[in-house]
Amino acid sequence: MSERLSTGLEQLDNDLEGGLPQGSIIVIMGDKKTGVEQLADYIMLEGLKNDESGVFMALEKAPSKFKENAEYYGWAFDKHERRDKMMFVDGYSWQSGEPETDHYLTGLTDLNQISMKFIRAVHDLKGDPDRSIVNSSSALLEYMNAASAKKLIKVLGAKSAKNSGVLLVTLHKSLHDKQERAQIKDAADGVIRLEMKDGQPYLGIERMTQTDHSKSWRKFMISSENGLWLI
Amino acid sequence: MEKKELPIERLNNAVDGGIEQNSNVLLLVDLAIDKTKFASGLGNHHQSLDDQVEYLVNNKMPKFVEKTLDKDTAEIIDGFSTTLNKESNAAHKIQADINEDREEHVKESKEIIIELMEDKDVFIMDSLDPFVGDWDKITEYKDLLKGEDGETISYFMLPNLGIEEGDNEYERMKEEFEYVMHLKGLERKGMILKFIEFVKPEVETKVPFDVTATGIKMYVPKLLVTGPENSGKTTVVHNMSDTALSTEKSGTTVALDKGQVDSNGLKADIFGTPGQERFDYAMNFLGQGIFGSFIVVDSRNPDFERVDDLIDTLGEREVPIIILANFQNKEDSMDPEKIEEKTGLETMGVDAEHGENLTEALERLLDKILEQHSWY
Repeated sequence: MSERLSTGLEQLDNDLEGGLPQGSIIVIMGDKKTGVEQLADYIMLEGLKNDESGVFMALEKAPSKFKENAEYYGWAFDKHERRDKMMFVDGYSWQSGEPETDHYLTGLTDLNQISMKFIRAVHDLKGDPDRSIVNSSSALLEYMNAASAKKLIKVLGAKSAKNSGVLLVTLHKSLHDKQERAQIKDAADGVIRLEMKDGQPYLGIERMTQTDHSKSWRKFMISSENGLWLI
Repeated sequence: MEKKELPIERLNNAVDGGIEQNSNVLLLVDLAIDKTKFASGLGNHHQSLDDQVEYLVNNKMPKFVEKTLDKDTAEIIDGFSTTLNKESNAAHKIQADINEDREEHVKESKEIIIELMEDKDVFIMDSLDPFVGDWDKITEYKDLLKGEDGETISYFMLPNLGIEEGDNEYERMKEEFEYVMHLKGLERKGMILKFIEFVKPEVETKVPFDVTATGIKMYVPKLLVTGPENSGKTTVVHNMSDTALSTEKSGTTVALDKGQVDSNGLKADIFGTPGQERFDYAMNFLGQGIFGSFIVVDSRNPDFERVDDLIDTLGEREVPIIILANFQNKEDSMDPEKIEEKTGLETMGVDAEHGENLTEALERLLDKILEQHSWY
């Protein structure tokens, strides 16, 4: 069995036989309001707190906006960025105005550029990337076909897996049809789902490589005071 | 039919002088390489040959290519700013957003391409990203500018999402285009060695390159020369290079030798390490991001123990290595074959002092380096 990375959520770690398998690509899929992004952020932050490193591909909003949202939950990414333990690839600001970071994309169509900027950010990190995020694959699907997006995610995943890192890829379920979702999930070694049932989000593990994982759904709780937890 | 030259001499030699007019050229570009930088460099090269250039950019704002191309002899078609709903100062703009109405976008872009083409020599499509895997669309664009007595050369930039020799797409490329060039990338510690290989015509040519401020040039970023003390490393660096610098104390290198090869159109940076073990720390930084290495030994007295240590260190970096059996001009020197047997690595005999066999060694190391690549 491969080494595990703790998600920071005790119950989820238990359900995953210790955590996420190193060197894997994990798709976190759910609708926007279920907390898909927060779950990915939380897992990354757990690593940063333990002196790990990571690259954040911000394709849906600008890095500053992302940090502002995270602060609402008391999550501070700033200090990790200042220590070069976290690098943003800004894949959003091209839409509005001038890019905010050194690692920016001029659009989401140029496949070479997306791959190159990821490599560059990995190179500029202090330490190898342990946990990285693509937020979101839905943004990629707006500008490229699903087959291209799948291959690109595999490439980024291979880069991150080179040093046993985990790549978390968020996917907004309702924006895509089944075929598109299947392509993105096909790139992954594991799929974690968040589903809304009677106004309450639940978390379930659809599949996970090398893991005899739990099949049950847990209540996924999120608040500005207590952060995330599972029941 | 007349030919037009490509930027690097070695490329032109490979295709008997250049690219024939009235032909389509596909550039398959590995993901580690900036294809816009290459495409605009190519446009700029044609401008320097007094060609009129038409350049379609559909994956970023035109301003990113405008700075490279000379405005007087290039027309840029803006296929991107509508995606952003933004103003652009490009004279030619495709109104339909490729994400909203793909068919209309294609139709409109084809009309503009044809309309502008009349007095142009070169067309560059940057890029085929939105049409990866869609060979019907690629063919539509490709056939636009070819006529019975056409003179245009059209370049198409295609990102490589895993096309490999022998698979269907690879064969398709060769069928559809008169020329296919594969821009390959090899990454080491964030540094990229880029090189060009012809897929069609099938010629055995591999040309390392970089896009510099002065254009597309043949270039190898970093080669290492190491070996035991007093084996002749500094002499190798100096006599292999056209210009070289060393930091020495009493005739012994204490920090590094640095040389630059700049001949036959090839540029390469060569770094030499000190031989004494107490300078092994220098290996740690000089060895970062190297693409190939020579280990120089004194054939009269090869220090095999030290050589084994160096092979181990370099082996971890997985770089191609050639052993240079130096002082072959001396009577009591061991044969390169013997040294090869002992070390298990390809060995070439050289006489560094008189520059004997050094150019051949450099060429051979390049060949070894360029045998590898990773499309992502």
